[in-house]
Amino acid sequence: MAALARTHEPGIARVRVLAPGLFTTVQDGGRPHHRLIGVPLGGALDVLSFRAANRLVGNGEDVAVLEVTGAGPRLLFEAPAAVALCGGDFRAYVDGEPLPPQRAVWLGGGAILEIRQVRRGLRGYLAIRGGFLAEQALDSRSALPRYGIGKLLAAGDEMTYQPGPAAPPAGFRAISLRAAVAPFQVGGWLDQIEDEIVILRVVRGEQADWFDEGARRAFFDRTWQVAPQSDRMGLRLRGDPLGAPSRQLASEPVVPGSVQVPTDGLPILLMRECQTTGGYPKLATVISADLDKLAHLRPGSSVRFVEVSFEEAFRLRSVQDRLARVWLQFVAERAQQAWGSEGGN
Amino acid sequence: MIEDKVRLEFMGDQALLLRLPEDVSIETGEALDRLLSLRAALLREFEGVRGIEDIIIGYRSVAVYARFEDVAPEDLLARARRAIQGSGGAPVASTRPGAVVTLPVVYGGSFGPDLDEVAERAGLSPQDVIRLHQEAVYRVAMVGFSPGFAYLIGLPEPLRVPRRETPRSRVEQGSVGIAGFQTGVYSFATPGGWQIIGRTPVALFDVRRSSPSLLAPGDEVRFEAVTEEEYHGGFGAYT
Repeated sequence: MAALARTHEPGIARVRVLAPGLFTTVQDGGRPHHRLIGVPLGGALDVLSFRAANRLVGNGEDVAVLEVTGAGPRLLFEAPAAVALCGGDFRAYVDGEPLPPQRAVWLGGGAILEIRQVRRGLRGYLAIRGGFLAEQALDSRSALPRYGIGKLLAAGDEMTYQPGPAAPPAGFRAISLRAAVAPFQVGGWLDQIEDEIVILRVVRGEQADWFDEGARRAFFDRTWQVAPQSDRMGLRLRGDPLGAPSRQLASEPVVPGSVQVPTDGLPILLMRECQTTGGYPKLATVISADLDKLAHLRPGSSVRFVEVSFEEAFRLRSVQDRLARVWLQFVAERAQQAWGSEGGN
Repeated sequence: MIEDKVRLEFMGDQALLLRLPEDVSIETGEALDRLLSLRAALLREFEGVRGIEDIIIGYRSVAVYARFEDVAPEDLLARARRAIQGSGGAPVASTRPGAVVTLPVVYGGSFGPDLDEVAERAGLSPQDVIRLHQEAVYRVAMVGFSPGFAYLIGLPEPLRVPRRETPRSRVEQGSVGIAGFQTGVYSFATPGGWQIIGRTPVALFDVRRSSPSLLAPGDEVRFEAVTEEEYHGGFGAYT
C-alpha cells in the first residue's frame, strides 16, 4: 500500500461547495492523545464505514473525509477525483445520474456530485484519494467547530485535494460522461441498523451500584427513544424517567458509550465527540463493538440495552477488530486491483 | 498504605480507571498530590507500551485510555498495579512543572453578574469577595468539561457557595465562576451553572498556540483584579 499513501503532491485541485448539506464536516481518526487538556476524541462516528471509504480510494485508514449527516452536500470537482461514499444509504447523483453506493468512483473534471437524503442510517463518509486537505490542529483534521477548530461546510467554501487519474481505470462502468464506478460493491454492515429497535450491548457503568434495583431493571426493560436534542457529543434519550441517585459525583473521566443519568432521570448516551470528563453518575457503558451503531441513530430511533460481562465485551471487541481488519484488507486489495497501476497516482 | 486501597475499574472496554478511596480529600489537594504521582508512575510503567492513548486526571481518579487491540486488559491491570506500588516516592508538583499563571479579571458588573449574590450568601461585601478571591493561590485539579476548562481548588472557605439553582443556557467565554469548593474559568461560551463573579480576557484554550491549553493539572493559578479598560486594551501579552 506504500505507493498509495505517498503524500507529496503532484498538483492541487479544488472542490467547490455548491450546497453544504444539513451538517457536513471534515473528519478523520480524531484526537486520541489530548484528553489531559480536555480535548474530545472526536473524529468519524462510524469508524468502519469511514475506513472502508478510505480503502476504496486507495488511502490509509485514517485519512480526512467528509462526514455527511441526513442529507449531504452538492460538490463541484474542478479536476478528476477518486472518491467513495460509504456508511448510511444515501441517494446520490453525478451530473443528475444515480450513483450506486458503497463503491469506488472515478469523477472527471467538472463533475457535480450531489448527495441527497439518506434512506437508511444517518451518516455517510465521502473519501477522496489523498484526503481532504483541511487545516490540521492537534494532529488531526477533524472539525470541532464549537472549540474553534475547523467549521461546518458552507455554500461557497472551497477545499483542496490531489487530482485523481485523468481517465477512468479499465473495468469501471460509465454512469455519465464524467463518472464511472468500480465493478464491485462493499457493505452489508447497515443490516444491523435496519431493525425497528436497535439493541445496544452494555457493561456495568462506574456508578451502577448507586442506582436502586428498580432503576437498574427499568433501564433494561424499557425501550428508549432518541430525542431531538442529540448531536456528535451525545444522544439524549426519552422515555419514563429513571430514579436517579441523589449522591454528588466529583467529575471524573468518561468514555464514548458512557450512559450518564442526570437528576431528571433521562439517560444521556455519550458519543465519540463527548467531553473528556463528567459529573453525572454512569449506569452503563455501551461496548466498543456497538459504538459505530450510534452514528446511525436519529431522533425518534428506538433503542434497548442488554448487559454483557466485561470479559464478553473484550472478547467481542477483539473479534470485531479481527473481522474489520480482514475485511478492510480485502477492500483495500480489491480497490488496488480496480484502480490498477494508476492507483498510486 | 493508601496505595493498597486504590480501586481498579474498567470503563467499558476502552479505559482503566484507578480510583482513590472516598476519605482522601479532593478539596485540600491531598487527592491531587496522590494522582499526580500515580500518573507519573503510570507514565513510567507504560513507557514504550503500544496501545496507550492518554493518561488523564479527574478529581479522585486517573484514567488510562487504551487500544485493547494492542494491549491486553490483563497486561494493563498488572502494570497499573505495579505503578500503584511504585507511586509512593518523591512528590510530583504538576503535569507541567513550574507553571504559575496569573489571570487578570474584571470583577462584578455585567462581567460578574452573580458577584452580589455570592457576597450576600457569604455574608461579605462584594469588595471582600474580590479581595479574598485574589488572595488565594489555586491549583488545577483537573481539566475537562470543555478544552482548557481548569477546575481550581484552594478557594477560601467563606467564598464556597453552591451553584446557581437554574443553570444559564449561555455563560460567556472567560467567565470566572464559583461552585462549592471550586473556582474556574469557562474556556468557551457554554451552558453552565456556576456563580459568575468576573471575566478574564485571557484565552484558556487556543488551538493556534503551540501549547493550546493555558492550564494543565497541577499548575498554580492566581487572579488579579483589573479595570474594564485594561481588560479591553492592556492584556495582549496574555492572549
